[in-house]
Amino acid sequence: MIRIILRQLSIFASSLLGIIFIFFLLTQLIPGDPVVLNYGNLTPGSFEYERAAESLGVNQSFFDQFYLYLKRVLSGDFGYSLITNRSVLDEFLTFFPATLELSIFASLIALILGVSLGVFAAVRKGTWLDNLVMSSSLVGYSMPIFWWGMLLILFFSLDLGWAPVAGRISYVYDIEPVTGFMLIDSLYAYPKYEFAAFYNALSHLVLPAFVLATVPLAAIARMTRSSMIEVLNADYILTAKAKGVSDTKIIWVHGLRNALIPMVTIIGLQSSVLLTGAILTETIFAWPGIGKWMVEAIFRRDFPTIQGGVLLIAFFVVLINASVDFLYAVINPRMRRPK
Amino acid sequence: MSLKTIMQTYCNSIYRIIITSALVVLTGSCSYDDVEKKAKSSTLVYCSEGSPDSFDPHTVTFGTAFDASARQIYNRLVEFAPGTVELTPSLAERWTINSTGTQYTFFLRKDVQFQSNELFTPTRNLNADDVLFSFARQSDPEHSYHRVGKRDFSYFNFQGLHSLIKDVVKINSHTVQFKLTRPYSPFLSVLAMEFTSIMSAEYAEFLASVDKKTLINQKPIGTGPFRLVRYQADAYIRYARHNNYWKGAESIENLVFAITPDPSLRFARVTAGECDVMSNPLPIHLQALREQSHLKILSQRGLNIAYWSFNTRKPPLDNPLVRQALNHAVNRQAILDAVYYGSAELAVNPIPPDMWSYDKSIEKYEYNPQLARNLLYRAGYPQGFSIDIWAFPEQRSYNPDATKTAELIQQDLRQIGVNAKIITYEVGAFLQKVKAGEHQTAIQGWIADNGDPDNFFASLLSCDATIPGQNSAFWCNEEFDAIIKDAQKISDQQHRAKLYQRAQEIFKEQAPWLTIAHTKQNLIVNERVHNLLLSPSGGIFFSGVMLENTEQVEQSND
Repeated sequence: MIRIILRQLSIFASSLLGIIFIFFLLTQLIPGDPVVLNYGNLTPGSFEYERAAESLGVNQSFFDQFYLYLKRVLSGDFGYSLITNRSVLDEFLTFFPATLELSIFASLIALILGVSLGVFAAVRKGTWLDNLVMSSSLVGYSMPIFWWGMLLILFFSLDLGWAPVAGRISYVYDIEPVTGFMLIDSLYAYPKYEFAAFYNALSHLVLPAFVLATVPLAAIARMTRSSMIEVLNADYILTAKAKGVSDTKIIWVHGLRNALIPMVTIIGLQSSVLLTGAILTETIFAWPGIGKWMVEAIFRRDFPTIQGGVLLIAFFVVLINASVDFLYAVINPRMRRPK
Repeated sequence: MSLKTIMQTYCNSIYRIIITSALVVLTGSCSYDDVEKKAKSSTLVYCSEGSPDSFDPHTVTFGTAFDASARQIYNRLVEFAPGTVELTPSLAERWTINSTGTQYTFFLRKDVQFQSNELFTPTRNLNADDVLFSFARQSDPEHSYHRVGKRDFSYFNFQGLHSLIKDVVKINSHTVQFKLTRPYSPFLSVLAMEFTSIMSAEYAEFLASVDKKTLINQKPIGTGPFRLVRYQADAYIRYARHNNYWKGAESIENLVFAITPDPSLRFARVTAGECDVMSNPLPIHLQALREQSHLKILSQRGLNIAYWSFNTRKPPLDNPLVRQALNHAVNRQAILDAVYYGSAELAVNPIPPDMWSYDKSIEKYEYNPQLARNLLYRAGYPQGFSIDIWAFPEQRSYNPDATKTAELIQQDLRQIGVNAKIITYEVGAFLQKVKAGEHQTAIQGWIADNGDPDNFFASLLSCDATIPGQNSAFWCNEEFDAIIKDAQKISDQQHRAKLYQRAQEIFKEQAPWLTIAHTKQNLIVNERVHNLLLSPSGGIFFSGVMLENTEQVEQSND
């Protein structure tokens, strides 16, 4: 166990180092004065300019500069926004809970629906139901989600009026950000609004979470199906059947559990799909998360925010993948044995 | 158990979960309808177009930021009456101007209280120190709040107040005197502009004492109708009414700016009732609106102009006959239809009709290609000539699509034998090159900074304005220029209006521009909102606005 943890940690650390190095290279490639790019319009020669230049080490060698960059990043200094003058890390932490809340819900939807549909299709392999699930998941997988999101807004919000159009909660509720998770914060406002704010926040979550879940859902359904079909044809399933194990137990215990092992990696990989999707989803639904934050920063040419934000997102994706790999090792007995 | 039954029970349980949770949510949300209704009845939600970069009205430059700060949180010494550009007393209850027009003495109200926030509670009412602070901060580079926020005081500099204001003197605790270096009659209008908002000197002192000076940009304290409660960038700005507002507390308790940069999403939100007011609708939204009975359009002619200027330093445009010919050659109605989709009106004079001194008696140049050809013949260009048209590359409210306007002009010019070439650059380069006079003709526009006609005539058409090149026609007419200079020295409005009317006659005769359009500004507003007025200078003020069911609900709850 300790060996697995150490191995994962070393992979994690080296990926981080690699990412930081690539980012450093990229920032070196941006044309223009690095001081102005990182600290805004300072006048060359001024005290502030010289101090900024010194902290960036612009006159030093490539490796010294990388060392300074690494030191800054590892101490949590991702620069300061040119627009708001706030630390990029602070801004990231303000917006991140919104994205996390949306992504967790989207993952839940994608997992529950995706695995169910996959098992369903695998068990009914070759029937029209299987074909229906497979073709609709192909449509879902290839759908441009900004278009899909707008379509859903048009139908569910504007035509039927069932769901809110955008945002995290109706603005009539005055919710103080405590945790940054709207569902939790809205419960803090219980004395003022009882459960009204909570339900309102929940209703705001449904459409964007579903839109964000669409692509991973389709991917998970397809993967579950093929993995399940493979497992159901395996010899040990046949043995189990011959021994008279009930169908329920075969599907849920012997079948799904084994089918899910390769799925863990797939689901882990979907986390980066989720974060990419979040940029589009958040823009469509005016959801104030890191996706929207990044898009706004790009429009405003806020280079420190773009650099710091992308780096932080990359860290997060690496972290998720490392934990998924770890989980994979834990649940798959074959990985535990040394070669 | 067969496979089929397993699948059925599995599906059933999933369905059951989905249906029950849907029911819980539905019934839950239904039973809290009253809570929501009550919250809604006291909250106005405005779908705004962007995030403010700061809440400091002295340093910001964009309308969005003025909407979020100066127009809700702060007051000025004098202000424009709602929906007009008429000056009314505000923090100064009255003022006197000396006979030479160089000394303005303001008498401040004594009952003006500042707002408070979680850090600060004011101990005194507004007095002369606050006025002194608000101006000294902008004019004095040594002032301890001058460098806070590392930003320029763009408007203060642009309006030339550095050289205009000699001194601001405190006569007594509630009397302030502005000493000017020269008589300048638009001064009162300048003081009604948002960048002269009055801040609390006491709050500034307090922030300095706790070493948090930059909070003056982020946690503003003003005297205005609403105080800032919370701001989350790119999400929302929340205000609450200022209960001690000197004009009396507002009827709206909460005001929220829902920041929604995408116009289609803004429209969807206002349609679904998530916002009460939507900023900057597109023409297509106004057309779609006729089906939505609970929404109305609020339209206001803006103090702006789009124009096609002729560089009078370059032949053949130095000849007034040629410029008149070009004026007759263009079918402006076609431009209004195709570029502005009817949300603008044809401009006759260089100032918009809502501005005082507008001369109604001046007739527009009719679209008449035959007459244009005759004029060209008389000017000595029977064969026509070639010119370039520089088109502003970005969308502006007064110029939704300058390139398209240029193309329409190009087609019209072909009919009178003038061959035009359209030129465009990226904004920075465009403005620089036009200021340097590299163009022959250029399509540009202007929005009023304040309600004074001087802001159009002197900024765009005076001889002085040819030096930085703001006067892109580089037109310097002696008589016109003398009139503009005279009008700056006189404080009697009727007398000034006469001078400006003469200026408009000269403008028409000399035709340094083709005046194209005055754009209307629009808001889409839910019918439950009353008393909302658009300001002609483009801003939105929520003071005095009422929500229809406010009183009803309050009564039923009592």
